[in-house]
Amino acid sequence: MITNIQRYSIYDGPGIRTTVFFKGCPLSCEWCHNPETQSYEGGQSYTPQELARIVLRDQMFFGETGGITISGGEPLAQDMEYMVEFLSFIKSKGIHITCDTCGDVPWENFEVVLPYVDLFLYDIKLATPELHKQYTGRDNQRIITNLNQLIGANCVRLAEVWLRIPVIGGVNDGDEMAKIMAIAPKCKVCLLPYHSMATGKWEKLNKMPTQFCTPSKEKMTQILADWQKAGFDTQIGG
Amino acid sequence: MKQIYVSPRVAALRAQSESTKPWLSLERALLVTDAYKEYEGQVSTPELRARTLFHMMKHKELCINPGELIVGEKGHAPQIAPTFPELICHSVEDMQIMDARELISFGVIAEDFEMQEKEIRPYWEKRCMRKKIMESVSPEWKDCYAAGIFTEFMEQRGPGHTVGSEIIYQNGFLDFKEKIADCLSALNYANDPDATAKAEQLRAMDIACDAIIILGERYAALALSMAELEPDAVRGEELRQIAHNCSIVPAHKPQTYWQAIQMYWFVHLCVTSELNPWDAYSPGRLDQHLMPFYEKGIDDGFALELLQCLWIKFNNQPAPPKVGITLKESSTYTDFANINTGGIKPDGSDGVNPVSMLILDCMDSMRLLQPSSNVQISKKTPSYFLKRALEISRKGWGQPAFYNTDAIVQELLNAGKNIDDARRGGASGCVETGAFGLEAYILTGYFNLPKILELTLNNGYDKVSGKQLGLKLGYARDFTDWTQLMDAYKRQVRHFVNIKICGSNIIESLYARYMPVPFLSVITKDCIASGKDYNAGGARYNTSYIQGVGIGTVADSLAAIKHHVFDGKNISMEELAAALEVDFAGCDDMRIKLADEAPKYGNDDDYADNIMYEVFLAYHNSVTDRPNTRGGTYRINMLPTTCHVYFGEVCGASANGRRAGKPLSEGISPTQGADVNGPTAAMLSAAKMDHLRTGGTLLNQKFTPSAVEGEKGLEAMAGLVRAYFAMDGHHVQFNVVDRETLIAAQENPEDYKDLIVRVAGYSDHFRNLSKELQDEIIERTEQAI
Repeated sequence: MITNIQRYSIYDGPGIRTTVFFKGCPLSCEWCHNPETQSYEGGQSYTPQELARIVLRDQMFFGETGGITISGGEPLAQDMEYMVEFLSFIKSKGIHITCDTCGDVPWENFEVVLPYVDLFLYDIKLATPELHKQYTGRDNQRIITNLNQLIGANCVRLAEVWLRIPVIGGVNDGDEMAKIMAIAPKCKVCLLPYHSMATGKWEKLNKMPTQFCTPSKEKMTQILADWQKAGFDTQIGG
Repeated sequence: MKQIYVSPRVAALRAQSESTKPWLSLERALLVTDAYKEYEGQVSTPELRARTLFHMMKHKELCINPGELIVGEKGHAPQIAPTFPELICHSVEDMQIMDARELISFGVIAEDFEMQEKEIRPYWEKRCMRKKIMESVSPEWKDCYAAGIFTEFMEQRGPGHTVGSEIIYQNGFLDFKEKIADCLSALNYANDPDATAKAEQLRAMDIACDAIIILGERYAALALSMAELEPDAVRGEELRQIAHNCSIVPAHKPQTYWQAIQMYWFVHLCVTSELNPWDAYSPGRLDQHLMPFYEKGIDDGFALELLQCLWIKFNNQPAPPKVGITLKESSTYTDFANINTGGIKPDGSDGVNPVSMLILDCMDSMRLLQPSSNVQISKKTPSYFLKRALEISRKGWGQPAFYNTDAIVQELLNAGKNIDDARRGGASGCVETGAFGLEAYILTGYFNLPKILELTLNNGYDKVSGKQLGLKLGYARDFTDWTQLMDAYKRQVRHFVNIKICGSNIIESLYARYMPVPFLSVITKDCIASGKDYNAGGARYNTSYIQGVGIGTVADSLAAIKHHVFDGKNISMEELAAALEVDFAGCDDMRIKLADEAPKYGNDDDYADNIMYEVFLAYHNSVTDRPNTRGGTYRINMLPTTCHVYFGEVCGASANGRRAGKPLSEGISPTQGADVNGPTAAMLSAAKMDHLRTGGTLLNQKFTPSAVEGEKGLEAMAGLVRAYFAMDGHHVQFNVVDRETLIAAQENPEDYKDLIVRVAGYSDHFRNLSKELQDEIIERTEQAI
C-alpha cells in the first residue's frame, strides 16, 4: 500500500527522483516526519506495472544521477514479491534505484532487493539498544547486524550505502552521537537535523506529537566536524 | 558566493541610471519635423528617411556622462525617451496621462505641451502611421481590435525585432558605403525594372551611413574638448581614448574590445532613433562577437568594466512611451534588448567562451532590468556555464532566462533557414526565434485564444462590445458533442486569424511604402545586395509572427467542458452558459466543480494536455506558412508580455472557473495554481506542445527559495533545464521568491523598492506592475518541496 508518490523529490538520494512512500513500518519513532506511514492500514494499491508506469513518467528528468526512491514507512517490510516485480521492471529500464530503510527487517528482505537497489539510505538513529527501544519501540540489534552484513563483501552485488542520522535535540546530539560514530561502518554519512514540520501530520492522525528540539546551526556544524574528523565523508541534509 | 568587483565609476553610473526618472523629450520629434519640412516631396521616401536620420545625428544634443567609457544617449541625458510623431502623434492629453499616470510614467516639461500642440501636432496629426493604418484597415478589424480579440504592434511602434550580427565588427560604415556604391554602379537599368527603386533605396542607405559617421565624429570632437578642460589627468586620458575610439568607429571597423563595444552602441542608437523597432535592437551573440577582440589581449577586470558600462547604457534607455491598448499589452519601461550568451558557434561547436563568463559576471553584478539577458543552452553546453547561470537565476530577479539552442536551430530550419544561418540565430524580445542579422521577424500582435472560445459558445456574438464579431455557428446549447464544439472553435480561430492577417498585410504594406529604414537595412544582410528595404522584404528572411495568448486558460476550459458536459454529463451546456453569463453568481458549486474537479493542463495528464495540443495545432494551422507581403510567411509564437492581463479584462467568465476580467494564463505556463504535481509534471505537459513548429514559447516556473537552495537545489534546477530542453522545450525562466515576500511587497512597496521579478520574457520591478499583474504573479503555482 502506498501513501504518496512524490515527483521532483531532491532530498531522497542523488539527482531528481520520484519517491514512492509505502505504508507500514516496524518502528514507531516518536519524531517520525511521516507518521501517516507508520500504520500498515489504508493507502492506495497499484499493481507493480501500474506503479512502474507512474514513476517512469519523470524518466526524462532522472538523467545520469536521479531515479526512483522507495521509502515509507518501511519499503522492505512489504510484500517482497510485489517489490521485486516492481523493482526488476524499473531496473530493466536502466534506472537508478534508492532504498530508504530503517533496517529493521529480516535479512532475506534485503537479499531479494539487492540485485536491483543501487543505493541504500540506511537510518541509524541511536546506538544504545535501550534508548532505541524507548524512542522507536524496538531495539537496534537487527538494524546493526543487517547493516554490517550489507556493508560486508558477501553481498551478491555491492550497493552503495549512505548512513542517515536524524539529529534530534536532547536525544542523540550529545554522547549518543559519539556512540553512533563508534559503531558506524565507513561510508558516507548524512546528518538530518530534526524539524517540527510534521506536527500537523501528527495532529491529523489525532495523535499528540512529542516535541523535540531542532539542533542549532552551531550544534550541527560541531557534529559535522566531529564526523569529518573521524574520517567520514559527511554532509548535512540529503 | 562569488563576489564581483564593481568600480566606483560603474557604481555611480548605475546609481544614476536607476534613480533617474524617465522623461519625455521632443528633441527628436522637432528634428524629424524640420527634416520632413525641408525634404518631403523633393526626394524619394527612402532618402527622406535617411536625410531625417542624418539631420537628427547632426543636430541632436550629445551627452558624455561623468566617468563613462562607452558614450552616446538617445536623448540629451540618461532616461530620456524620444517620441516618434511619424508613427503616433500624441495628443496633449496623451502627454498629460504619461506625465500623471502612476505606473510607467514619463515626466513632461511644461513647455513641451505647448510645443507638441504648436509644432508637432499640426504637421503630424494627419500623416502619422497610426492615422494611415486606422484609415486603411477594415471596420471588422477595428471592431476585433477594440474588443480585444487581438492587438496590433505596429499601431504605435515600428516593425521591429531584429538583432545585430557580426558584420558591424568586421566592417566600418565607410566599408558599407563602398559596398553600396558597388551595388549602385552595378544596377542594370536596361533589364531590371526595379533598378530605379533600388537606386533610391541604395542612395538612402549611403546617407544613413553618413548619419552614423557624423554622430561618431561629433562624439570624438566632444570627448576631445572635454579632455582639454578636464582637471583630472586620469579622466582626461580616458576622454582622449574615447575620442580616439570615436574617430575609429563607426567609420572604420573596430580594432579593440573597447571600440567593438562602442561600435555596437553607436549602431544601437541609430537603429532605435531611426524608428522605434519594438522589440528594440540587441547585439545578439555578444560573447562571440567580442571574442576576437578579447583574444587580442585585455585585462579581465577592464573587459568586465566595459561590459558593465554597456549594460548601464541599455538601462538608460526606457522603451518609447506607449498609450492605450499598446501600453496594456506591454506595460513596462523595458525595451527588450535581449542578449544571448552561450549556445553554439556557426560551425556547430560549443559557443561558451571567456567572454560568456564575463557577461554572466556582468549580469550578476549589475542586476539591471535592461538589457534582458539570457543564456542559450545546447546539449554541448558545459555544466559549469549552466550552473553559473542558474546560480544567478536562483538569486530571484529573473535573469538570465534559459533558451534551448538545439530547439531554436530546429525551429529555424523548419522555417526554411539554412543550417549556417540557423546556428547564428537565437531568441530576442521575450522568446522570439530569429536568424540574427539576417531576418526581419516582425511581431504583429497578440491573439486572444480564450476570447474566441467565449465567442464560440455565443454564436460569434461578443457581449462585452455588443457586436457580432465571429461566425454564426450556434450557441453553447447547440453543441451536442465534443467534435462539434471543437470544429466550431477551430473555424472561429481561423476566421479571426484571417481578419488579423488582412490587417497585418495592409499595415506591412504601409510601412514598406512610407517608413523605410535605410540604416537598419545597411546592417541587415541582403538588403544592400537586393537594393530593398528591411521593411519591404530586403532581409534574407522575412517572418511575421502572431503571438497566441491564454493557451492554459482555453485548454482548461475545454477540458472542463469535455469532462463535465460531454463525458460526465453532470453539467449541461445550458447550465454552463447561464453560469458563465452571470460570472458564476449563485453558481459557486458549479464553479468549484469546473475549477477543481476537472483535468487541468500542467499536470502531465494527457486528458487536458491533448486538448492543449489540439488548440495549439488549430492555431498553428490557421497561421503558419501563410504568405505575408514581404516574401515571407506568418508563423506563431506563444508569449504574452503583459497582454494576458489585458486580454483577461475583456473576457467574461471562462469554463475553467476563472471569473470575468481576471488575467488569463501566461505564455504556455499552466493556469495559475492549476499545476499541482510539481515542476516535472508541468514541464512534461508543456513539452507536449510542438515547440519546434513555433517561433518561440514561454514557460514560467516559480520556486520558493528553499526549493532550490544549496548544491542539490542547483543540480536539480540544472536537471530540470536539461530535461525540458531534451524534450524540445524552447525556453524556461525562474522566479525564485516566496509568496509572503510578494504579498509584503504589494502591501509595503516602499520597503521592497529593489524587488525584481520575472514577468513574461522580461524582468521588472515589482512596484512597476499593475495590481492585477502583481496578483497574477502571486497566484502562480509555487513549486515547493
